[in-house]
Amino acid sequence: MIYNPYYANSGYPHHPNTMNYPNPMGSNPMQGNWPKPTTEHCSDEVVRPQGNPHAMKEEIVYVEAGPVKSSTVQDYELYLMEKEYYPKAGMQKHGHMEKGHHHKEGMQQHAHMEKGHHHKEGMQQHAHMDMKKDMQLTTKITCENLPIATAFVRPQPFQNLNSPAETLQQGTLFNDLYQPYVARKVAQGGRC
Amino acid sequence: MWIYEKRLQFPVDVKKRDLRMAKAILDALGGHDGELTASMEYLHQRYTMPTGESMAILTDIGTEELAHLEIVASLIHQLSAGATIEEIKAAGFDGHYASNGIGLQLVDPSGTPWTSAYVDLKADPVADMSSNMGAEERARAGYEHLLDLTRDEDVRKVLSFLREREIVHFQRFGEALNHLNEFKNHDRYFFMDQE
Amino acid sequence: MSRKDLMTQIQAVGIMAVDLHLYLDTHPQNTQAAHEYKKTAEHLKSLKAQYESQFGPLVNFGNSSSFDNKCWINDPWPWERQ
Repeated sequence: MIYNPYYANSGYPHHPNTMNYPNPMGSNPMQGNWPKPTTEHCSDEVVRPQGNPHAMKEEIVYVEAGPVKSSTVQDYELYLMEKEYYPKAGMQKHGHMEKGHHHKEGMQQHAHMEKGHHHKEGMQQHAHMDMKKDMQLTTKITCENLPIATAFVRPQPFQNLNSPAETLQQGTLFNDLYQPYVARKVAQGGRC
Repeated sequence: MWIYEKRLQFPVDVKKRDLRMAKAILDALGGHDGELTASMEYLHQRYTMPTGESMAILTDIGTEELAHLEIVASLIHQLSAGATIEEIKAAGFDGHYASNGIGLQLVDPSGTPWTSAYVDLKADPVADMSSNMGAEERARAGYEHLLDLTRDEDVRKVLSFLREREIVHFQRFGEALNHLNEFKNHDRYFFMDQE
Repeated sequence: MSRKDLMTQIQAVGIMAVDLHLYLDTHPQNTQAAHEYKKTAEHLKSLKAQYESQFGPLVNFGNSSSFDNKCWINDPWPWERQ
Protein backbone atom coordinates (compact mmCIF):
# COMPACT_ATOMS: atom_id res chain seq x y z
CA MET A 1 0.00 0.00 0.00
CA ILE A 2 1.56 3.24 -1.06
CA TYR A 3 1.61 5.83 1.65
CA ASN A 4 -0.55 8.67 0.55
CA PRO A 5 -0.72 11.74 2.81
CA TYR A 6 -4.14 12.54 1.48
CA TYR A 7 -5.52 9.49 3.16
CA ALA A 8 -3.29 9.67 6.24
CA ASN A 9 -6.01 10.01 8.83
CA SER A 10 -8.88 8.55 6.99
CA GLY A 11 -8.67 5.10 8.42
CA TYR A 12 -7.11 3.36 5.44
CA PRO A 13 -4.92 0.48 6.56
CA HIS A 14 -1.25 1.31 6.78
CA HIS A 15 1.62 -0.99 6.25
CA PRO A 16 2.87 -1.90 9.76
CA ASN A 17 6.32 -0.59 8.92
CA THR A 18 5.18 2.78 7.64
CA MET A 19 6.16 5.73 9.77
CA ASN A 20 3.29 7.86 10.77
CA TYR A 21 4.02 11.32 9.48
CA PRO A 22 1.87 14.14 10.75
CA ASN A 23 -0.46 15.25 8.03
CA PRO A 24 0.88 18.58 6.76
CA MET A 25 -2.65 19.54 5.81
CA GLY A 26 -3.91 19.29 9.32
CA SER A 27 -6.37 16.68 10.51
CA ASN A 28 -8.69 17.31 7.66
CA PRO A 29 -6.82 17.24 4.39
CA MET A 30 -9.62 19.16 2.72
CA GLN A 31 -9.07 22.14 4.96
CA GLY A 32 -5.45 22.72 4.06
CA ASN A 33 -4.10 25.28 1.61
CA TRP A 34 -4.34 22.74 -1.06
CA PRO A 35 -3.84 24.51 -4.38
CA LYS A 36 -6.93 24.07 -6.41
CA PRO A 37 -6.69 23.86 -10.13
CA THR A 38 -8.37 26.79 -11.78
CA THR A 39 -9.05 27.76 -15.33
CA GLU A 40 -10.00 31.32 -14.54
CA HIS A 41 -6.92 32.69 -16.23
CA CYS A 42 -7.51 30.71 -19.40
CA SER A 43 -9.75 31.99 -22.09
CA ASP A 44 -10.90 30.53 -25.29
CA GLU A 45 -10.03 33.48 -27.42
CA VAL A 46 -6.90 33.51 -29.41
CA VAL A 47 -4.19 35.86 -28.23
CA ARG A 48 -3.13 38.12 -31.04
CA PRO A 49 0.33 39.64 -31.19
CA GLN A 50 0.55 43.32 -30.37
CA GLY A 51 2.40 45.95 -32.27
CA ASN A 52 2.11 47.79 -35.52
CA PRO A 53 0.23 45.54 -37.84
CA HIS A 54 1.86 47.17 -40.82
CA ALA A 55 5.44 46.84 -39.69
CA MET A 56 7.63 44.83 -41.96
CA LYS A 57 9.64 42.29 -40.13
CA GLU A 58 12.91 41.04 -41.40
CA GLU A 59 13.23 37.95 -39.31
CA ILE A 60 11.44 34.76 -40.10
CA VAL A 61 8.05 34.59 -38.48
CA TYR A 62 6.46 31.28 -37.79
CA VAL A 63 2.82 31.09 -38.56
CA GLU A 64 0.44 28.38 -37.58
CA ALA A 65 -0.78 27.01 -40.83
CA GLY A 66 -3.77 24.74 -40.98
CA PRO A 67 -3.22 21.56 -42.88
CA VAL A 68 -3.68 22.04 -46.56
CA LYS A 69 -6.05 19.29 -47.47
CA SER A 70 -4.75 18.84 -50.92
CA SER A 71 -2.32 20.83 -52.93
CA THR A 72 -3.40 20.58 -56.50
CA VAL A 73 -3.06 22.32 -59.80
CA GLN A 74 -5.40 24.98 -58.43
CA ASP A 75 -2.95 25.81 -55.69
CA TYR A 76 -0.20 26.39 -58.21
CA GLU A 77 -2.49 28.47 -60.37
CA LEU A 78 -3.57 30.56 -57.42
CA TYR A 79 0.04 31.03 -56.51
CA LEU A 80 0.87 32.18 -60.00
CA MET A 81 -2.07 34.55 -59.91
CA GLU A 82 -0.92 35.94 -56.64
CA LYS A 83 2.55 36.47 -57.95
CA GLU A 84 1.13 38.92 -60.43
CA TYR A 85 -0.26 40.90 -57.50
CA TYR A 86 3.11 41.49 -55.95
CA PRO A 87 5.47 42.77 -58.63
CA LYS A 88 9.21 42.50 -58.23
CA ALA A 89 9.52 46.27 -57.70
CA GLY A 90 8.68 46.27 -54.03
CA MET A 91 6.38 45.44 -51.21
CA GLN A 92 2.87 46.69 -51.40
CA LYS A 93 1.44 48.54 -48.45
CA HIS A 94 -1.81 47.19 -47.30
CA GLY A 95 -4.75 49.27 -46.28
CA HIS A 96 -7.32 48.28 -43.84
CA MET A 97 -7.59 44.56 -43.51
CA GLU A 98 -11.11 43.49 -44.08
CA LYS A 99 -12.47 40.34 -42.68
CA GLY A 100 -12.87 37.81 -45.40
CA HIS A 101 -10.25 39.45 -47.55
CA HIS A 102 -7.75 36.82 -46.77
CA HIS A 103 -6.07 37.43 -50.02
CA LYS A 104 -4.41 40.65 -48.91
CA GLU A 105 -3.58 39.57 -45.39
CA GLY A 106 -0.05 40.18 -44.35
CA MET A 107 1.98 38.00 -42.13
CA GLN A 108 0.64 39.70 -39.07
CA GLN A 109 -2.61 37.89 -39.41
CA HIS A 110 -1.13 34.99 -37.60
CA ALA A 111 -3.26 32.93 -35.51
CA HIS A 112 -6.83 32.48 -36.23
CA MET A 113 -7.51 30.25 -39.15
CA GLU A 114 -11.16 30.02 -39.89
CA LYS A 115 -12.45 26.57 -40.27
CA GLY A 116 -13.11 25.58 -43.80
CA HIS A 117 -10.74 28.14 -45.20
CA HIS A 118 -7.67 26.02 -44.86
CA HIS A 119 -7.43 25.32 -48.51
CA LYS A 120 -6.90 28.85 -49.70
CA GLU A 121 -5.39 30.30 -46.57
CA GLY A 122 -1.89 28.98 -46.97
CA MET A 123 -1.77 30.48 -50.42
CA GLN A 124 -2.97 33.90 -49.39
CA GLN A 125 -0.69 34.13 -46.43
CA HIS A 126 1.81 35.59 -48.72
CA ALA A 127 4.67 36.63 -46.53
CA HIS A 128 6.49 39.67 -47.62
CA MET A 129 9.65 39.16 -45.70
CA ASP A 130 10.78 36.33 -47.85
CA MET A 131 9.80 38.17 -50.99
CA LYS A 132 13.37 38.54 -52.19
CA LYS A 133 14.18 34.91 -51.68
CA ASP A 134 10.89 34.02 -53.23
CA MET A 135 11.63 36.01 -56.35
CA GLN A 136 14.76 34.02 -56.94
CA LEU A 137 12.84 30.81 -56.94
CA THR A 138 10.34 30.13 -59.70
CA THR A 139 7.28 28.02 -59.10
CA LYS A 140 8.74 24.65 -59.75
CA ILE A 141 12.11 23.39 -58.64
CA THR A 142 14.03 22.10 -61.64
CA CYS A 143 17.60 21.05 -62.30
CA GLU A 144 18.34 24.59 -63.48
CA ASN A 145 17.08 26.61 -60.53
CA LEU A 146 17.86 24.15 -57.74
CA PRO A 147 18.87 25.94 -54.56
CA ILE A 148 21.89 24.71 -52.64
CA ALA A 149 21.57 22.46 -49.60
CA THR A 150 18.52 20.85 -51.16
CA ALA A 151 18.18 17.25 -52.19
CA PHE A 152 16.47 16.74 -55.51
CA VAL A 153 15.32 13.71 -57.44
CA ARG A 154 14.51 14.19 -61.09
CA PRO A 155 10.77 13.63 -61.60
CA GLN A 156 10.05 10.49 -63.53
CA PRO A 157 8.39 10.95 -66.93
CA PHE A 158 5.38 8.77 -67.63
CA GLN A 159 6.67 6.43 -70.28
CA ASN A 160 7.77 2.89 -71.11
CA LEU A 161 5.13 0.91 -69.31
CA ASN A 162 5.49 -2.83 -68.93
CA SER A 163 2.92 -5.47 -69.79
CA PRO A 164 1.44 -7.40 -66.86
CA ALA A 165 3.84 -10.30 -67.36
CA GLU A 166 6.84 -7.97 -67.54
CA THR A 167 5.57 -6.09 -64.51
CA LEU A 168 5.50 -9.27 -62.46
CA GLN A 169 8.92 -10.31 -63.68
CA GLN A 170 10.59 -6.93 -63.19
CA GLY A 171 8.70 -5.89 -60.08
CA THR A 172 7.55 -2.56 -61.45
CA LEU A 173 5.26 -1.13 -64.10
CA PHE A 174 7.93 1.30 -65.24
CA ASN A 175 10.72 -0.13 -67.33
CA ASP A 176 12.78 2.99 -66.57
CA LEU A 177 12.90 2.07 -62.91
CA TYR A 178 14.02 -1.50 -63.51
CA GLN A 179 17.55 -1.93 -62.15
CA PRO A 180 18.39 -5.62 -61.88
CA TYR A 181 20.99 -6.73 -59.39
CA VAL A 182 23.93 -8.97 -60.14
CA ALA A 183 24.96 -10.94 -57.10
CA ARG A 184 28.44 -10.52 -55.72
CA LYS A 185 30.64 -13.53 -55.24
CA VAL A 186 32.85 -11.76 -52.75
CA ALA A 187 31.57 -9.31 -50.14
CA GLN A 188 33.53 -6.28 -51.25
CA GLY A 189 33.85 -3.31 -48.92
CA GLY A 190 36.31 -0.44 -48.68
CA ARG A 191 39.01 0.54 -51.11
CA CYS A 192 40.07 -2.39 -53.28
CA MET B 1 -8.36 2.06 -41.84
CA TRP B 2 -6.91 -1.17 -43.07
CA ILE B 3 -8.69 -4.16 -44.47
CA TYR B 4 -6.98 -7.36 -45.46
CA GLU B 5 -6.80 -8.90 -48.88
CA LYS B 6 -6.21 -12.62 -48.71
CA ARG B 7 -3.37 -12.76 -51.16
CA LEU B 8 0.28 -11.85 -51.32
CA GLN B 9 1.39 -8.95 -53.49
CA PHE B 10 3.96 -11.32 -55.04
CA PRO B 11 3.79 -15.13 -55.01
CA VAL B 12 6.03 -16.97 -52.57
CA ASP B 13 6.58 -20.61 -53.39
CA VAL B 14 9.69 -22.03 -51.79
CA LYS B 15 10.36 -25.70 -52.37
CA LYS B 16 13.57 -26.25 -50.46
CA ARG B 17 14.02 -25.64 -46.76
CA ASP B 18 16.96 -23.47 -45.77
CA LEU B 19 17.11 -22.50 -42.13
CA ARG B 20 20.26 -20.42 -42.36
CA MET B 21 18.64 -18.30 -45.03
CA ALA B 22 15.49 -18.04 -42.95
CA LYS B 23 17.54 -16.69 -40.09
CA ALA B 24 19.27 -14.17 -42.36
CA ILE B 25 15.95 -12.98 -43.79
CA LEU B 26 14.82 -12.09 -40.26
CA ASP B 27 16.75 -8.88 -40.91
CA ALA B 28 14.10 -7.82 -43.39
CA LEU B 29 11.39 -8.66 -40.85
CA GLY B 30 12.48 -7.26 -37.50
CA GLY B 31 15.74 -5.61 -38.35
CA HIS B 32 16.74 -1.97 -38.27
CA ASP B 33 15.88 -1.38 -41.94
CA GLY B 34 13.27 -4.04 -42.31
CA GLU B 35 9.70 -3.86 -43.49
CA LEU B 36 8.21 -3.40 -40.04
CA THR B 37 10.41 -0.37 -39.44
CA ALA B 38 9.55 1.06 -42.84
CA SER B 39 5.83 0.61 -42.51
CA MET B 40 5.62 1.99 -38.97
CA GLU B 41 7.86 4.91 -39.92
CA TYR B 42 5.85 5.99 -42.93
CA LEU B 43 2.47 5.43 -41.37
CA HIS B 44 3.35 7.52 -38.34
CA GLN B 45 5.08 10.34 -40.17
CA ARG B 46 1.99 11.17 -42.18
CA TYR B 47 0.15 12.78 -39.28
CA THR B 48 2.44 15.78 -39.21
CA MET B 49 2.83 16.29 -42.94
CA PRO B 50 1.68 19.64 -44.32
CA THR B 51 0.14 18.63 -47.63
CA GLY B 52 -2.31 16.07 -48.91
CA GLU B 53 0.21 14.82 -51.39
CA SER B 54 2.78 13.94 -48.76
CA MET B 55 0.15 12.32 -46.55
CA ALA B 56 -1.07 10.31 -49.51
CA ILE B 57 2.29 9.02 -50.58
CA LEU B 58 3.23 8.07 -47.01
CA THR B 59 -0.06 6.26 -46.48
CA ASP B 60 0.20 4.32 -49.72
CA ILE B 61 3.84 3.36 -49.41
CA GLY B 62 3.34 2.53 -45.71
CA THR B 63 0.50 0.22 -46.66
CA GLU B 64 2.62 -1.41 -49.33
CA GLU B 65 5.36 -1.99 -46.77
CA LEU B 66 2.86 -3.80 -44.56
CA ALA B 67 2.16 -6.04 -47.56
CA HIS B 68 5.89 -6.62 -47.96
CA LEU B 69 6.11 -7.52 -44.29
CA GLU B 70 3.68 -10.29 -45.06
CA ILE B 71 5.77 -11.47 -48.01
CA VAL B 72 8.94 -11.56 -45.90
CA ALA B 73 7.14 -13.46 -43.17
CA SER B 74 5.80 -15.97 -45.69
CA LEU B 75 9.30 -16.42 -47.07
CA ILE B 76 10.77 -17.12 -43.64
CA HIS B 77 7.89 -19.40 -42.79
CA GLN B 78 8.24 -21.47 -45.94
CA LEU B 79 11.99 -21.68 -45.53
CA SER B 80 11.73 -23.00 -42.00
CA ALA B 81 8.46 -24.81 -41.50
CA GLY B 82 8.75 -28.57 -41.09
CA ALA B 83 12.41 -28.52 -40.13
CA THR B 84 13.78 -31.44 -38.14
CA ILE B 85 15.76 -30.91 -34.97
CA GLU B 86 18.93 -31.99 -36.74
CA GLU B 87 18.36 -29.33 -39.39
CA ILE B 88 17.77 -26.73 -36.70
CA LYS B 89 20.95 -27.62 -34.91
CA ALA B 90 22.98 -27.82 -38.09
CA ALA B 91 21.86 -24.34 -39.10
CA GLY B 92 22.66 -22.78 -35.74
CA PHE B 93 18.99 -22.01 -35.30
CA ASP B 94 19.04 -23.46 -31.77
CA GLY B 95 18.81 -20.14 -29.94
CA HIS B 96 15.90 -18.91 -31.99
CA TYR B 97 14.17 -22.26 -31.63
CA ALA B 98 14.57 -22.20 -27.86
CA SER B 99 12.90 -18.78 -27.54
CA ASN B 100 10.40 -18.87 -30.34
CA GLY B 101 10.12 -22.40 -31.63
CA ILE B 102 9.93 -22.48 -35.38
CA GLY B 103 7.87 -19.32 -35.22
CA LEU B 104 8.34 -15.85 -36.62
CA GLN B 105 9.50 -13.49 -33.95
CA LEU B 106 10.12 -9.83 -34.71
CA VAL B 107 13.84 -9.93 -34.15
CA ASP B 108 16.88 -9.43 -36.27
CA PRO B 109 19.17 -12.33 -37.18
CA SER B 110 21.18 -11.92 -33.98
CA GLY B 111 18.06 -12.08 -31.84
CA THR B 112 17.85 -8.37 -31.03
CA PRO B 113 14.19 -7.53 -30.61
CA TRP B 114 12.56 -4.96 -32.88
CA THR B 115 12.16 -1.59 -31.26
CA SER B 116 10.52 1.70 -32.14
CA ALA B 117 13.98 3.22 -31.72
CA TYR B 118 14.40 2.07 -35.31
CA VAL B 119 11.61 4.44 -36.35
CA ASP B 120 13.09 7.75 -37.52
CA LEU B 121 10.51 10.42 -37.06
CA LYS B 122 11.06 14.12 -36.52
CA ALA B 123 7.77 15.76 -37.55
CA ASP B 124 9.80 17.98 -39.83
CA PRO B 125 8.58 17.32 -43.35
CA VAL B 126 11.91 17.75 -45.14
CA ALA B 127 13.81 15.78 -42.50
CA ASP B 128 11.30 12.97 -42.56
CA MET B 129 11.11 12.69 -46.32
CA SER B 130 14.91 12.79 -46.64
CA SER B 131 15.20 10.14 -43.96
CA ASN B 132 12.71 7.98 -45.82
CA MET B 133 14.82 8.13 -48.94
CA GLY B 134 17.77 6.93 -46.88
CA ALA B 135 15.63 4.18 -45.41
CA GLU B 136 14.65 2.94 -48.85
CA GLU B 137 18.25 2.84 -49.96
CA ARG B 138 19.21 0.93 -46.82
CA ALA B 139 16.39 -1.52 -47.41
CA ARG B 140 17.53 -2.01 -50.99
CA ALA B 141 21.08 -2.64 -49.82
CA GLY B 142 19.75 -5.08 -47.25
CA TYR B 143 17.99 -7.06 -49.94
CA GLU B 144 21.13 -7.03 -52.04
CA HIS B 145 23.03 -8.56 -49.14
CA LEU B 146 20.37 -11.23 -48.84
CA LEU B 147 20.56 -11.89 -52.56
CA ASP B 148 24.29 -12.43 -52.15
CA LEU B 149 23.59 -15.16 -49.65
CA THR B 150 21.45 -17.53 -51.68
CA ARG B 151 21.31 -19.26 -55.04
CA ASP B 152 17.80 -20.64 -54.66
CA GLU B 153 15.80 -19.18 -57.57
CA ASP B 154 12.49 -19.27 -55.71
CA VAL B 155 13.93 -17.17 -52.92
CA ARG B 156 15.85 -14.88 -55.27
CA LYS B 157 12.72 -14.07 -57.26
CA VAL B 158 10.96 -12.78 -54.14
CA LEU B 159 13.98 -10.87 -52.84
CA SER B 160 14.52 -9.26 -56.26
CA PHE B 161 10.90 -8.15 -56.32
CA LEU B 162 11.17 -6.61 -52.87
CA ARG B 163 14.44 -4.92 -53.81
CA GLU B 164 12.94 -3.42 -56.96
CA ARG B 165 9.99 -2.03 -54.97
CA GLU B 166 12.45 -0.19 -52.71
CA ILE B 167 13.94 1.48 -55.76
CA VAL B 168 10.49 2.59 -56.89
CA HIS B 169 9.72 3.91 -53.40
CA PHE B 170 12.93 5.91 -53.42
CA GLN B 171 11.87 7.61 -56.63
CA ARG B 172 8.44 8.41 -55.20
CA PHE B 173 9.85 9.78 -51.96
CA GLY B 174 12.30 11.87 -53.96
CA GLU B 175 9.44 13.40 -55.91
CA ALA B 176 7.56 14.00 -52.67
CA LEU B 177 10.62 15.77 -51.28
CA ASN B 178 10.72 18.03 -54.34
CA HIS B 179 7.09 18.84 -53.69
CA LEU B 180 7.72 19.59 -50.02
CA ASN B 181 10.67 21.85 -50.84
CA GLU B 182 8.53 23.74 -53.34
CA PHE B 183 5.77 24.01 -50.77
CA LYS B 184 8.18 25.36 -48.18
CA ASN B 185 9.44 27.99 -50.61
CA HIS B 186 5.93 29.15 -51.41
CA ASP B 187 5.86 30.85 -48.03
CA ARG B 188 3.53 28.44 -46.39
CA TYR B 189 4.89 27.49 -43.05
CA PHE B 190 4.89 24.27 -41.18
CA PHE B 191 5.66 25.73 -37.79
CA MET B 192 3.74 26.92 -34.80
CA ASP B 193 3.25 30.56 -34.00
CA GLN B 194 5.84 31.55 -31.42
CA GLU B 195 4.12 34.67 -30.17
CA MET C 1 -8.85 -20.36 -65.58
CA SER C 2 -7.14 -22.18 -62.76
CA ARG C 3 -6.89 -20.62 -59.34
CA LYS C 4 -3.15 -20.19 -59.62
CA ASP C 5 -3.29 -18.56 -63.07
CA LEU C 6 -6.05 -16.19 -62.01
CA MET C 7 -4.15 -15.30 -58.88
CA THR C 8 -0.99 -14.62 -60.91
CA GLN C 9 -2.93 -12.29 -63.18
CA ILE C 10 -4.40 -10.48 -60.18
CA GLN C 11 -0.95 -10.10 -58.69
CA ALA C 12 0.52 -8.72 -61.93
CA VAL C 13 -2.28 -6.24 -62.58
CA GLY C 14 -2.27 -5.43 -58.86
CA ILE C 15 1.35 -4.34 -59.02
CA MET C 16 0.53 -2.20 -62.04
CA ALA C 17 -2.31 -0.56 -60.13
CA VAL C 18 -0.07 0.09 -57.11
CA ASP C 19 2.63 1.66 -59.28
CA LEU C 20 0.11 3.86 -61.06
CA HIS C 21 -1.50 4.94 -57.82
CA LEU C 22 1.88 5.87 -56.34
CA TYR C 23 2.78 7.76 -59.52
CA LEU C 24 -0.47 9.70 -59.32
CA ASP C 25 0.22 10.59 -55.69
CA THR C 26 3.33 12.49 -56.73
CA HIS C 27 2.13 13.64 -60.16
CA PRO C 28 -1.49 14.51 -59.48
CA GLN C 29 -1.99 16.47 -62.69
CA ASN C 30 -0.77 13.80 -65.09
CA THR C 31 -3.85 12.95 -67.13
CA GLN C 32 -2.20 10.12 -69.02
CA ALA C 33 -1.39 8.36 -65.78
CA ALA C 34 -4.90 8.97 -64.48
CA HIS C 35 -6.35 7.37 -67.60
CA GLU C 36 -4.04 4.35 -67.30
CA TYR C 37 -4.92 3.99 -63.65
CA LYS C 38 -8.61 3.93 -64.39
CA LYS C 39 -8.12 1.29 -67.06
CA THR C 40 -5.91 -0.85 -64.84
CA ALA C 41 -8.16 -0.50 -61.82
CA GLU C 42 -11.18 -1.61 -63.80
CA HIS C 43 -9.28 -4.58 -65.19
CA LEU C 44 -8.20 -5.51 -61.66
CA LYS C 45 -11.76 -5.21 -60.41
CA SER C 46 -13.06 -7.56 -63.06
CA LEU C 47 -10.31 -10.09 -62.39
CA LYS C 48 -11.07 -10.00 -58.69
CA ALA C 49 -14.80 -10.38 -59.30
CA GLN C 50 -14.03 -13.42 -61.44
CA TYR C 51 -11.79 -14.90 -58.77
CA GLU C 52 -14.27 -14.27 -55.98
CA SER C 53 -17.18 -15.80 -57.86
CA GLN C 54 -15.20 -19.01 -58.31
CA PHE C 55 -13.07 -19.24 -55.18
CA GLY C 56 -14.63 -17.17 -52.45
CA PRO C 57 -13.89 -13.85 -50.78
CA LEU C 58 -10.60 -12.05 -51.22
CA VAL C 59 -11.27 -9.24 -48.78
CA ASN C 60 -12.77 -9.21 -45.31
CA PHE C 61 -15.19 -7.03 -43.38
CA GLY C 62 -17.83 -6.75 -46.04
CA ASN C 63 -15.55 -5.46 -48.79
CA SER C 64 -15.81 -8.52 -50.99
CA SER C 65 -18.36 -9.54 -53.58
CA SER C 66 -18.45 -13.02 -52.07
CA PHE C 67 -19.87 -13.79 -48.64
CA ASP C 68 -18.70 -17.36 -48.24
CA ASN C 69 -17.00 -17.26 -44.86
CA LYS C 70 -16.21 -20.98 -44.99
CA CYS C 71 -13.91 -20.29 -47.92
CA TRP C 72 -12.32 -17.44 -46.04
CA ILE C 73 -11.57 -19.73 -43.12
CA ASN C 74 -10.66 -22.98 -44.83
CA ASP C 75 -9.12 -22.17 -48.16
CA PRO C 76 -5.34 -21.97 -48.26
CA TRP C 77 -3.87 -18.89 -46.67
CA PRO C 78 -1.35 -16.90 -48.73
CA TRP C 79 1.72 -17.96 -46.77
CA GLU C 80 1.03 -21.67 -46.88
CA ARG C 81 3.01 -23.82 -49.26
CA GLN C 82 0.90 -24.34 -52.37
